[in-house]
Amino acid sequence: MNLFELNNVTAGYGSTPILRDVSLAVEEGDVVSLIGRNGVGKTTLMKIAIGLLSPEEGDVMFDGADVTSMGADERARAGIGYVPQGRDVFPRMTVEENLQIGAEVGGGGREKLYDEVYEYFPRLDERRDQNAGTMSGGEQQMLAIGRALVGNPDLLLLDEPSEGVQPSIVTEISERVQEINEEIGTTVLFVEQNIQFTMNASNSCYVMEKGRIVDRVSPDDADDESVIEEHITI
Amino acid sequence: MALTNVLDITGLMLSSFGTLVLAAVGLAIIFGMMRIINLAHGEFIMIGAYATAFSFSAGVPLALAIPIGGLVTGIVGLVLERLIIRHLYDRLVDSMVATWGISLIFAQGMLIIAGPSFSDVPTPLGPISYGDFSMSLYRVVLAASAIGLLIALYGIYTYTTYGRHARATMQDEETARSLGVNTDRIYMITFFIGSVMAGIAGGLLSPIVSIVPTLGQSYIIEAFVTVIVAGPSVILGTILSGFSLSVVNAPVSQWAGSFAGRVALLVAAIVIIRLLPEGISGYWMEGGE
Ligand SMILES: Nc1ncnc2c1ncn2[C@@H]1O[C@H](COP(=O)(O)OP(=O)(O)OP(=O)(O)O)[C@@H](O)[C@H]1O
Ligand SMILES: [Mg+2]
Repeated sequence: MNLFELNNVTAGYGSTPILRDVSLAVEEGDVVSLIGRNGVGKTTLMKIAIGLLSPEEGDVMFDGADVTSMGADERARAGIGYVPQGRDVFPRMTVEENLQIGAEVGGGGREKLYDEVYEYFPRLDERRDQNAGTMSGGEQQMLAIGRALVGNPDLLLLDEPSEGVQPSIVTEISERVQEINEEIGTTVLFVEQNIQFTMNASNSCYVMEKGRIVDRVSPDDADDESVIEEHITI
Repeated sequence: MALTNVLDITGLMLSSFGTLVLAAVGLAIIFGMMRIINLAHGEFIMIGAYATAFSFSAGVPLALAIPIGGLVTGIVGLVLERLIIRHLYDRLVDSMVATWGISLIFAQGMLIIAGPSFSDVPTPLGPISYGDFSMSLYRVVLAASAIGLLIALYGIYTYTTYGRHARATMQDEETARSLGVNTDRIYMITFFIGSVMAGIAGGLLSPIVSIVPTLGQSYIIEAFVTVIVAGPSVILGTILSGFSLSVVNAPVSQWAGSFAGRVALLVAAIVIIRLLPEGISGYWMEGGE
């Protein structure tokens, strides 16, 4: 069953169209990636997915329901956890307070995953009372993922989790994403430009060019690494 | 003689500090958290003063009439937010024009409803005196209430779920929304709290002013100056700002009269903003974006 779908979505800012007739599906329990060069519209697609931007045409389906007209906060409470590009942690709030905000995700009915988040990311545990704005890029990325995860979402959306993060931490984050998927069962859709991250973490990969989905490949096939590489590098 | 002078100035400082902080606190919340410049803030204070004076004249004890003033003003603010203000978020100029219009309507409306003046509220508690020195004990109450309100706000914004959500919304609205925070509701509650604070301020100030429809105008400039000098931290900033400005205002008022005191206050504000463009608390903030 598809947990999440975009069907023939056209969207943009004002009059300039950015996404044209985009369709994409994420099966429940899967880890799906979306790759493409700078400025092709990946973040725009993620904003459509969480509801920060409304499509001009097409619809957004989540958990069997049409959520196109739902606002971002409603979708979050319905079970979508969103990690924005550039992380956007709340800088003048502590690590713990950032996680408490994320507890809204999934609504009031579910068990919250504070313990799990601190286990996956022990650095957060050590820094509970530190202001998020004073942490390193990698730590902020972990916090942003933890913040989206703590509410126990069905779907986790990650927009370029490796951006501006040092290589050893990129590996750590990609392993955590896989563990979260396997152990908690969270479905994941992420945007990446890092080939290694994409190859390691996802089972299926959409390729975007100039606002359209042009290919879907499986990173498990060795042949596809070159395809992915070709689509990311200029 | 010298001691009496010191005591006189201390007394003036207490009431100056209390008045500045009380006049500013509601404005500081609404501007600091929502970036709405509420030009009707003075009239919110006026409504609080009237509701307090009205309740008092109907036999309600002052200690209860003041929170009633806060609540009435809060409800007025809530209705305005739902009807008008919420359509003007992120539209600075439009919101200023709208709130300016509201301020005129409120001042004129009160004139029509209640006439040019309303029976004054007598200052409670009497004087404290020492030799030649004598001041109203109520000044101490004003300063203490101002600090008490700020402490209450600190509690709300630090320890409650609403408070956390409000701070998150202020720091990054879009991200807060995408994490399930109903930011529309947060803005509504914040405007309500700011209005309640303005109303309580009006109630607390009602025994020391004449209850007239234009009374808001005597506080609006000081309120704005205090908020600007305070800078980004609503609570710490407002305390420091109220303190610094009253330290300048009180002795000058004592020696050269209250008009000179006001001029000194404005000059002090300009100097502080020249030296610390982010306001006093901008200097203290850490962990920027
Ligand atoms: N708020 C906005 N208003 C107008 N245009 C925008 C806005 N945000 C993005 N764009 C434009 O939309 C296009 C797609 O941007 P988007 O951020 O979706 O790209 P991206 O694939 O995520 O790029 P990157 O890899 O650099 O993050 C770009 O041309 C960008 O300039
Ligand atoms: Mg992007």
